[in-house]
Amino acid sequence: MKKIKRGLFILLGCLFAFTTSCDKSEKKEIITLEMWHNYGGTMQTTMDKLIDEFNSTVGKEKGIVINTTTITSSSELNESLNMIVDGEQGAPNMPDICTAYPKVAILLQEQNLIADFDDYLTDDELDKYVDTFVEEGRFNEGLYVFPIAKSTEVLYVNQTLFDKFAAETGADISSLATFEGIESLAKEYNKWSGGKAFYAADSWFNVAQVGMKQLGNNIFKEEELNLNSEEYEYIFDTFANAVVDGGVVIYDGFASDLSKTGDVICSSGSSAGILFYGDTVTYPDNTVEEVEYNILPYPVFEDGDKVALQRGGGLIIGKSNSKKEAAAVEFVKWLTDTKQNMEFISSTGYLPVTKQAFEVELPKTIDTLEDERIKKMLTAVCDMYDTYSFFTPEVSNELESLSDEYEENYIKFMTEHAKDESSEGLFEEFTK
Amino acid sequence: MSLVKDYLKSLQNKTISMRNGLLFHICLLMTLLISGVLVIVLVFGFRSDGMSELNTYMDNELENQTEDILESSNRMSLKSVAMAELVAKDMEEYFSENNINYEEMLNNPELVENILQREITYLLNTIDNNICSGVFVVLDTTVNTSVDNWENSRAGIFLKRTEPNSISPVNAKIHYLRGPAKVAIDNKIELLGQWKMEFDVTDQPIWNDVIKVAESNPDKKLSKLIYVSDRILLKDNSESGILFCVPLRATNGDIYGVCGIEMSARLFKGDFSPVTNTYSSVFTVLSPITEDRLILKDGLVAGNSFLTEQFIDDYADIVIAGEGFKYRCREKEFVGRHKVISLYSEGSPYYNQMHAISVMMPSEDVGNYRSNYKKYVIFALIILVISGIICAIFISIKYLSEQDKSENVIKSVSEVSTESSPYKTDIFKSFISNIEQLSPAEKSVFDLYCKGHTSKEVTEILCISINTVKTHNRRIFMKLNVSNIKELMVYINMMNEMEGKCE
Repeated sequence: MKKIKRGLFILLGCLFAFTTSCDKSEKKEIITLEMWHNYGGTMQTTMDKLIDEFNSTVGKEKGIVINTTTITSSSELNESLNMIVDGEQGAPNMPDICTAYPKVAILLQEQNLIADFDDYLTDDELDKYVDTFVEEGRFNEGLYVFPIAKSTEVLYVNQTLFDKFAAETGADISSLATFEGIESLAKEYNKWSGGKAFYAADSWFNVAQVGMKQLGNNIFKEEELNLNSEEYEYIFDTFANAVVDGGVVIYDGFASDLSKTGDVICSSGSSAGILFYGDTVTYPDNTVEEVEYNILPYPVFEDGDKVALQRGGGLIIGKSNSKKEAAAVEFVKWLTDTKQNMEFISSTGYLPVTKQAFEVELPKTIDTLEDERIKKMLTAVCDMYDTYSFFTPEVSNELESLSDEYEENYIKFMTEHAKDESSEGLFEEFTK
Repeated sequence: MSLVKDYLKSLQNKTISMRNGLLFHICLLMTLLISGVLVIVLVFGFRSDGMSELNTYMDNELENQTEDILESSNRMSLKSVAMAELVAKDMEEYFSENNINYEEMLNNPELVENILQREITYLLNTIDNNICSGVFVVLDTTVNTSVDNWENSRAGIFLKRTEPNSISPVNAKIHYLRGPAKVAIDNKIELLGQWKMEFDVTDQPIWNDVIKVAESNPDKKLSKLIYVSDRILLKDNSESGILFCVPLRATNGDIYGVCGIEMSARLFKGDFSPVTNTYSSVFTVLSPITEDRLILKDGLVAGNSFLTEQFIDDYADIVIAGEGFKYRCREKEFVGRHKVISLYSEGSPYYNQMHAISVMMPSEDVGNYRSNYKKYVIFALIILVISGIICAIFISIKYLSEQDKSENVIKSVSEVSTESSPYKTDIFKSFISNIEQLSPAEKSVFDLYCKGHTSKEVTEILCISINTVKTHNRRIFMKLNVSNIKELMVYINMMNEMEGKCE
């Protein structure tokens, strides 16, 4: 009997060895991962190129294919992801990889729809990334949003048009270091140009949020908007004056749209928006003027601290099986590796996320960049990282709703009162 | 029913000898193994190496994709025609109401802006209610003839849907690629990074050609004048696609421009990528076709892997190699199918321009799928072998335990014989009574065993061969219900102890 058993074991062992050797001789199973991202327009070319490179090198070797199925704005991605969270009828399936902000990632994590990077990355691997960037994606005891590229907010100035204005009025560009300086120049520009606006902001909530931080307060207090404070009143009045005077325009869209047509010459917005500004201004008669943009640090309220917002989402991985999740992490690691990360930021204006890229490669690379706009942007942002302190807004569903509500109300209110004769009493009316 | 029950009961009660039981189980195992092999052969084919499955898949995929692409193309053509009719009619009414000639649009930015402010409604309606990546209207005019290259500048609007594959087209956001900025701002449409006010048609004469063809075919219906462009990357755009172009023709025959719908490369990829978990490198192509070539660089490609702009650049045109559904581009070979189609109806000036829908994959990947196929066959056979081994183990255990049992019986009989009167036991009584069933020949062999002779001595005494002795032995064992000679000798010893009862 013992002999029979031993024989059977030997036979089964041989069969196992045979099947294993069969597997090894075959090509690896191909895992196709669906990806959604928000790197559209000119950034799309860079991202497409990187994905192609991955698919034809590391991906081919490891049997991973990245298939981009959606490229759209981050707000639209958010909408789609929110549809998934709410389980709305007609909601799309969760993609395998997606760019997202922590605010929506939290909701997805609560529904157990995204994977935890901590399950796949060692401490040594994570140590290669800038700590604060990694920490931004951490919540509920896991790392759910992996940094890919970061940005902050800066001040865009159409230097060509500003120089014309300055040549005649003596306006000093150093005034743009403060919001009070912007307000003052905006009034002057409005008169000089015969009623044109000088400044617009991509997000008026960000102006209020960062302004409050600069002045030592916080826009949120006990999960409510903290509008009945001296600091907020000061911020509100600074812009209300300029809006009523016509030097600041309230626009429900990106300020770069107005810059392209010369409707404003100065605007604050994400450093990643540089490519949306172009290098021309087109007037209604289709005459096109070549212009040069200058990138200045984010303005500060007088007597305030130099504080700016740290922005930029990251990549999330849809929950599936461990094979797919591991494959997705493999791609994310490759994409954020110093070489690829530098390639991406060099043509988009984002900041890299690995310590090696951020601290060593970036300063060396800036001077070699071909695109002057990106060169200026990265120089300005690197300077800001030396002199500013950065904060990442607290993330929660409630605060997100409050900020959206504020933006909507503020734009509506200020648009209605833009033609008022005076800004007196507007603060009380807005905050009542 | 009761008869069946009785029969089953009788079967249960029926004693089957160990020999017959073993034989039955071995036969059963053999039947199972042969059946398994037959099932594998039936499932995977007698001499199949996976090619017939691939061919069937390709045939079905080509048929389905052709149907879907033609349906989509026809829908876009019809919608483009409907939009062109509405836009042309509205423009004509505007010109008539304001008593102006359409040629007055030239150098008149305000007039162009007013017209486009009206026409954007039709464009928004079309893009909101159809699966497409963009809609456009290109007027045969420019707002400023004093700017550089004005001859190649055309006023108009191009709306892009940045998420063309969204399943919820109502929520999909629209962006503005071309057109007066004020029209976009008034309609709360964000400008794309590549926004320009007018179209630059330098080296891209599609719309001029459509207008010329329309002018030279004044009697043809609009549906006959629709033109489907090759894949084109508009100047300062980042995404290529094919354009369904329809002339904007007034009732008096004036051609105001062109309007239509875009099917971008991404939309095509999203909608027409082959659905398969097995053949991941297979792809679909809609492209112009010449006598022996598929012109990939002018077509759209949809697939799940390694199918990017770079791929299309690398394999700009594919030679139809003919036999065995093979295609070739330089050193790279493909296997697949193609079907020649016409995107135009009879009577169209473009009717002779032929297209093809193809489904193919790199030949090198076919080998991998075939290897995979062999792997499945081997896997099935291994499962069968393992099942056979398990059955064999089961049978062995069953019959070895029977043997163990008989040895135990012998032991117990031996013990009984020493401790008490052996011939009182039922087993022993049965043995004694069964001796009478032995034939004379078997009896003579049995008697010699009783006298203490060995098998070899039996052959010599009875002058028979050892095989004959073995045959007698088997019969003796069966009739006396013992398993082997050892057990038989135990009983014989017991008989001898009973003082000559053997004789």
